[in-house]
Amino acid sequence: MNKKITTLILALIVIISGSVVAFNFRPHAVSKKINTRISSILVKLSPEEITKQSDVVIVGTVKDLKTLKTKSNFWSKDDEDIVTNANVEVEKYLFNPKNLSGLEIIVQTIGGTIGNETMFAEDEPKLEKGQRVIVFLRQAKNGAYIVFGGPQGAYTINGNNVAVGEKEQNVFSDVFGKQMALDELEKQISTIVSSSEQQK
Amino acid sequence: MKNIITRNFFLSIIAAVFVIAAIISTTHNTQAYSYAGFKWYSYPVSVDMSDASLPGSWTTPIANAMSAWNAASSPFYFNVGYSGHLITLENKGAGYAARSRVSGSGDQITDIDLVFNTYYSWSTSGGAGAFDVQNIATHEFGHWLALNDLSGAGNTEKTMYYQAAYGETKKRTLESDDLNGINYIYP
Repeated sequence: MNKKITTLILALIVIISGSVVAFNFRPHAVSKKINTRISSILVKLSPEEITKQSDVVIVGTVKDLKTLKTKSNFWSKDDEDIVTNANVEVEKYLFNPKNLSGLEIIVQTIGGTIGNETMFAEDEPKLEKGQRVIVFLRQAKNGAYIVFGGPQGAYTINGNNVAVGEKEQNVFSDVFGKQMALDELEKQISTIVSSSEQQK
Repeated sequence: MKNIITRNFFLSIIAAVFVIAAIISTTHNTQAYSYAGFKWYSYPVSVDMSDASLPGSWTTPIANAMSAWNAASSPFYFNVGYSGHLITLENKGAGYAARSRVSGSGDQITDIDLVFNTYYSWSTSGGAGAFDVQNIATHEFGHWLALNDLSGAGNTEKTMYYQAAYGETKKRTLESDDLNGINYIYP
């Protein structure tokens, strides 16, 4: 009896570990539905650069998402991008040189699915309904506000914590030098904005 | 009885080694490189440098970037040709040094284009105050192979690290994990 149980346990261990190995050697993150994929190399941005080169920096909450096709901001010819427009309810303007006063800003990110066509942009932040975010935005040629510097320009806020998950935290540390709470980040941005205004 | 205990002991050791190997292997692959999940099914893949926007002085550094990947043990290779897989230069505003657009069908890459962003300054010799053409091209050709960007402190020296800075040339040379990536996708 003991022998049978031991053999069974050993067999299970071998099957489970074999499955882990098999999964590991399978192509990673395969999505056969993706028709177009955008990949970039990002410009390394400092806190000063990402703030001062933005057209607006806000804290807000994503209220709604809408996917559509639009003429590409980046590619020439007659290329179209599938984009996702996120309606972000503005909680606070942290940098607002254009004196925007709207309660909502539409943030456009590349990527989404329409019918059986999917566009995926590796370096674009993926905003989700209900997500509280701090976003550094630039106005594109078509008037839409896009996230500046890809993942360097959008971070999830959870309570007073900025940047959630390993990837966001890695990127945040690359830009700001360390992890920090929202109030500390707001203070840093305020200092940058003040020094920028004094220089003018 | 003693034989059964001995046999079970050895089987347990083998199973434990298997489990540890699987865990180590999973961790290693996740950190080493990242594969986008689709690929070219025939090669060489011809890089089209015929667009008028591309300065003549850029052809050598771009060819050098192709050679870096061609030197891997993988049978995949790039060459130069009028394929429509175009390299162009355009001003695309702040944020990105270069961007590749990959079109595919199922898990097969069917077309690809690359834009260098002239919003920023460029150098063919790694000069300060400009992005190095070969440095950026080597990274972008990694995307052409279907390798994803990498982030995190352990990946900063790799060609597929997601950021670049003015004067940087370290991406010209592939790290072992970059080579492991191409060898994995195109064995």
